[in-house]
Amino acid sequence: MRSKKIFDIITLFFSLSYLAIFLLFLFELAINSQLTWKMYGFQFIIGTRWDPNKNIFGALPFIYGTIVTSALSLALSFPIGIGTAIFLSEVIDQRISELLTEVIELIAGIPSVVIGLWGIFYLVPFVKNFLEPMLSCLSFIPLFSSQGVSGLSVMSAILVLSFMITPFIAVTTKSALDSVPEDLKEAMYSLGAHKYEVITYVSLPYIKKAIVSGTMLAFGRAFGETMAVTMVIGNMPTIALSLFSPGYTIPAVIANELTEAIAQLHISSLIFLALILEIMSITTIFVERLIIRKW
Amino acid sequence: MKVKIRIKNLNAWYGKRHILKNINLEIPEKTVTAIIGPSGGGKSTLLRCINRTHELKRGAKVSGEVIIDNVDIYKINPVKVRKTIGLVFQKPNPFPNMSIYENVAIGLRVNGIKDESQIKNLVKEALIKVNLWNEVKDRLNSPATQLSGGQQQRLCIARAIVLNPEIILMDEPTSALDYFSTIAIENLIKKMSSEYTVVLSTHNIQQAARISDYIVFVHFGQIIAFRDTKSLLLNPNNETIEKFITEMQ
Amino acid sequence: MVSTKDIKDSLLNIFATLSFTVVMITLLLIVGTTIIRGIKAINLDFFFALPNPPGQPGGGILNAIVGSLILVVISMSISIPVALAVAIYLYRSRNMGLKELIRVANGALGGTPSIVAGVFVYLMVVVPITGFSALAGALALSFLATPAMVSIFEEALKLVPHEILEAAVSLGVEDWKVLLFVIVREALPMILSGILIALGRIIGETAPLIFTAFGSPSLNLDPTQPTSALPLLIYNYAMSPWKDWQEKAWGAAFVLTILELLIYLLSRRISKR
Repeated sequence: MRSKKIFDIITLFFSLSYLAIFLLFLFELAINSQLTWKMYGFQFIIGTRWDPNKNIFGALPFIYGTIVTSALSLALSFPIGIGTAIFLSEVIDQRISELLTEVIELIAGIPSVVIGLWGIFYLVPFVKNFLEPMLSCLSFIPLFSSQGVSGLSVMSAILVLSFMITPFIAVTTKSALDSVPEDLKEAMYSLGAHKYEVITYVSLPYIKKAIVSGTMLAFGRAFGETMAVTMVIGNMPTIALSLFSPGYTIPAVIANELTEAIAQLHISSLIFLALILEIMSITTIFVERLIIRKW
Repeated sequence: MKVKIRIKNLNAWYGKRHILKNINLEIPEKTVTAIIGPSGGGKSTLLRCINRTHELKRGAKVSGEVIIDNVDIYKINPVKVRKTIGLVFQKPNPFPNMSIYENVAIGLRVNGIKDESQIKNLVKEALIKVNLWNEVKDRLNSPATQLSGGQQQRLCIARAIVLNPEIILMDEPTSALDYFSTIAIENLIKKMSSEYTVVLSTHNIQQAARISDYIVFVHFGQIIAFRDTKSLLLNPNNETIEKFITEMQ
Repeated sequence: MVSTKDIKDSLLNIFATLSFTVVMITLLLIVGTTIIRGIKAINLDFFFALPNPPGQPGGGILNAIVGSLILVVISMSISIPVALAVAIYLYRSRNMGLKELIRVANGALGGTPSIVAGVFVYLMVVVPITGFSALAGALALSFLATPAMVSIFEEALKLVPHEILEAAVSLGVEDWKVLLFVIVREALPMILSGILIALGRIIGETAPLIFTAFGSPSLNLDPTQPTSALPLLIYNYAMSPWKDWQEKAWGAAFVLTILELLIYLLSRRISKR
């Protein structure tokens, strides 16, 4: 009996400590960003200038960069991910489908830094020498205007992020498609429907929840990405409309500047950015759970 | 009796399993034909070979002829075949993401009917035919899943008949339902046979006795007997069938 | 006769196939270049020698290999017991409120971007206590590894059939012994798989190490000293101006990718048992 008590106490202790560490974590982030909050208040979030040399700090370039790269990479990944899922679930045979699905899953296992490495040496020159000139016919659209570029750009970041998050959408959607009851699809076919109608009227609506859930989690993954992004985005705190201009994201600036920051305001601003990122992450997870439960 | 469906040398496989072996069968028009036999004997497969949905399964193979109104349906576009034949499933399966109305309307929509008022009339007609209209007319937009099991099955029948198929196939349509729903649907089937050719499968010999005009006995993928109901039950003439009948009593 | 709908069917097939192809081609490009450029850099020295001064060709990445090993061993030594203890608590406890709280915290921790984990350890360990160190790096990796393992372990325990639990209890075996020796053993394949998944994740992580382990050109077995790691080395060398280092970055990337592949395959094989 006593040994049971001790056992229970041990597991309880670990669990409480675990919880405590989580709370400590949030607390530390908040405490260490205090200085910036006292200095700028809400202005920090909409401040557009980030200049450590002049001790001026504003978060907007990074918030903008993080959101733009994540949202646009999601916009690219979503159709490709769903398309891949349809391919794996409805187009090809069950037997090779299992194998190919595992291959797609493997993508998620490629370290971000390896993708960044490939990005620097291959994708960035591609964007500079090929993609940008190719899209220059569209340069009247501010999104694509030419920047006298090096290829280190928001566009490059969007492309690598897209590749990294597509497997999340593809694999969760494919699983969900496989779970659509056969008799529902059969019933639709029996009405004289074509395959694309069965997929659009029966399968996809049936898995709505899974699609939303997968997409939100992919989004969360995207804005937390550090390495691949910082290696190709150019790391300049500008807010520009053109996708070919360099940019900066929250994880990237923290990675680049935290170890070298000396001024207290600089450090607390970086911590504040980390806090913002953490809040974004918690919000995404929270919203996803809410949607799944209430639907 | 005019023959509606003529099945010649039909064989069906699922992977390596040879499910239907040389089926030869003639199903009369505007009657209720019950396919009866033990589970796994090929009843479902036979139905699905008639509306050409068996071949949609991975690893499925079909050979032989199914001639409806002098046309071998295996020689024409399967999609066209399917819209002229309705199929009702064992477990009621209305589309969960659609309302009651949409469940019936969708068949019309995917077959090119665009006029909303025409759709409305056809949906109403179908729901009336299955005796469901009065129960749902005030909540046509509610999710189909809100209906009871028996109501859902009638909805599925409405979904199948809205396209005015000449043939309705039913795969053990009442085995998942309670007693009262079963009786309601059996009455519906009897009523329907004046307009449609109904082929249903069942493992319940009493049900076959109650509602069918003809019985086909299928065992291990082969047809053991095809007779009109009364004479088969009074005079089985076959050991296997006798055993089956007595076991079921 | 081909109808518009048949065309739409074909279009859907084409779209789906194209999507898959785009993903596969990109994958093959990345993995292909990593293999081709990586193999060039690999020789015996690569694995067993320490780096030469920057700009001087030759030398190897032993510091990173050993560093990664140390980081993984330390962080797993912390994460596995913690995750196991928390999972067991969630499995056994009837305190619904506390369990929900822990699950929520676990979820939030699991979604935390890896760089933020690094920031936390930087604030709590690096600055006040150890300075840049392998220990700090390992703690940051633990932060990332533990939440996923807690979820997987809890699932693994829940999947053990009730009959086994009842059978053991009815034999008069003490409660906690039942748990440890019977249930954990039954759940072992999934637990091992979870460990491998977490392992695969942390050996590829760079961001949290940037300001914890920090990196080092020398071999360091002292956990209070900074240390290199494979992903860190890739990052530093890739961004450096020296050709030789860039080539070594590819070599390290190749090694890391092969490791990830092996870990993935192993975890799949174990979880299928």
